[in-house]
Amino acid sequence: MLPRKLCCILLMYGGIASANDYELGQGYDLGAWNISGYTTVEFKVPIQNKYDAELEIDDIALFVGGNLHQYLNPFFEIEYSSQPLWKKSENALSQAGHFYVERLYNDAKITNKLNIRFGKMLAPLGDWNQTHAGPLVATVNRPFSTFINFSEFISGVSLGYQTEVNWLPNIIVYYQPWRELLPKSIEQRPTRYKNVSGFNLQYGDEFTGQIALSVQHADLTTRNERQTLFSIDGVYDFDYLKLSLQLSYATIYGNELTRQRNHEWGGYIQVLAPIVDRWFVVGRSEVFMQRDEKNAHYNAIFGINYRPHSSIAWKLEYALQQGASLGLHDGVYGSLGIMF
Amino acid sequence: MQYFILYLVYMVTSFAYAEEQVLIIIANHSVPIDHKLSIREIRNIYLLKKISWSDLTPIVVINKKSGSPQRQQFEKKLNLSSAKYALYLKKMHYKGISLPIIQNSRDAVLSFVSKVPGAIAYINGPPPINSHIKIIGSIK
Repeated sequence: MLPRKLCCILLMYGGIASANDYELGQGYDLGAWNISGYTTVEFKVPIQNKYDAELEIDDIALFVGGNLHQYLNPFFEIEYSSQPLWKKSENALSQAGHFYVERLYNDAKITNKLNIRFGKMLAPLGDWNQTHAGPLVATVNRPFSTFINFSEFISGVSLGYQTEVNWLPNIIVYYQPWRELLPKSIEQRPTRYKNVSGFNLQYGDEFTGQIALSVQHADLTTRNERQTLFSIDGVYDFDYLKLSLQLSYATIYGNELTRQRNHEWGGYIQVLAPIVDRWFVVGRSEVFMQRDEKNAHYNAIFGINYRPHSSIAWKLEYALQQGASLGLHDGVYGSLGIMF
Repeated sequence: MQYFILYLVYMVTSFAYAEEQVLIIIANHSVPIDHKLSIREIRNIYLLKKISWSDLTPIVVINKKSGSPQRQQFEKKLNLSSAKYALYLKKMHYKGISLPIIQNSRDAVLSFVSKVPGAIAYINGPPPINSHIKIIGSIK
C-alpha cells in the first residue's frame, strides 16, 4: 500500500514540479528533492590597529532535502566557510577556507506528530542555533550565549513531538552516544563534546510569541570536565518591535585547572524595530561570565538591516565590548546574505 | 433605465466584493479530512507546523507568489504580516521543512491539487467542479 502511494506521489509531484514558479530562497525542486543554499559575505573593520580589517566569505552552504517515504526523508548540508577575500597587510587569497558537513540526517515519521531523526543535526538549544544562517538573523555577530558553551550539533538520535494544541509544548529529546560526527576544525571549535543528551520544550511561534526551555548534559573531550546547561530563549513581536532573548546557566564538574568557577552563565536581549519599509534598526546587549575568566564579558551592538527581499539581508553594525575578551573586537561589521 | 444601471453596478460590485472576501480551501480528494478546517488548522498548515495528514501522507502546501493580491488577502485573513511570514518560511526551510509550492494561476492550482495526493490550496471565485478535488474549508 505504502510503496504504491509513494510511487504515485513521486511521479505526480515530480512531473508537475517543473511547472512551479521559482522564488528566491525557496530552492529548486527536483521531484521529491529540494536543493537550496545561502551565502554570506562579511567585512570587519576593528577600531584597534592590532586587528586587521578583513573581507571574507563567511560561508557558502548548500542543503538538500528529500521527502521520499514515511521513513525516508534525508537531509544534507555542506558548508564552505571562512574564505578571506581581502585582508589588510596579508595576501588573503593564499589562505583557504574550510569544508565541513553541517547536517546529515534522516527523518522517519512514526505518526503525524512523532518524528525520529538519526544522524548529525543542529542541537535544539535556542532558536538562534537552529536558524543561524546569515540571511535569517538580525546581526553579523552572533551572541556568545547562543553557541559558545554547549554542543551545537548532535550526532545521534532525536525524538520530536509536534503538538497542535496551544497549551502543550513541542518536545524534542536527544542523545549522542559518541563523539561528534565530522566535526569542525579545532581552530573553529576548540571545545568538543561527547555523550550529549538533552531536551527542548517549546511553546508558541514567532507570531503568537515563543518561549523555549532547553537542557543539555555533556562530557567535554577537550577538557577534563562535564557540564549540565539550562537555557531559556524567547521571541515576542509587538509589531513595532521584536524582542528576543536567551539566558543560559551551566554547572560544571571535573578538575580542569584553568577553570575559575564551577558555573558559567550568560544572556542577551535584542530589539529589532522596523523604521521604514524594509529597513530595521537592531540593538543588543549581552553579558557572559566565562568559566576560565575572572571578569565577565560585556558587549553591545547597534546596527541597521535592509531587507529588499525575505531572502536578502544587508547588515551594518557597530560592536563594543568590555571586560573579558572572547573574540569580539570593537569596530564596524557588515554583511550581505542571500538565500537561494 | 437609470435604476437598471444602478442595479447592474450594485450586482457587479457586490459580486466582486464577495469574490475578494471568500477564499475556498481545497484539497486532493484523497486527503483524510471529513470536516471543515478551522482557521487555526489552516494556519498550522500554512505555518508548516502540521506537515502530514492523519494517514501520514505529506501535506503538499500550495501558495501564491509573494506579493500577489490573493496571497496578501490570504495572509491578512490569517493575521500574518507578509514580510514576517516570508522570513518565517525561510527559517522553516532552513530547518529542513519543505516550503509551499508556488502556483499562480487558478488553473495551475486546480490541476496540481487534483493530481497530487496530500495537496492543499486556497482559491477564490466559484467552487471547482472536479471529482479529484474536495472543499475542506473557507475563510471569510
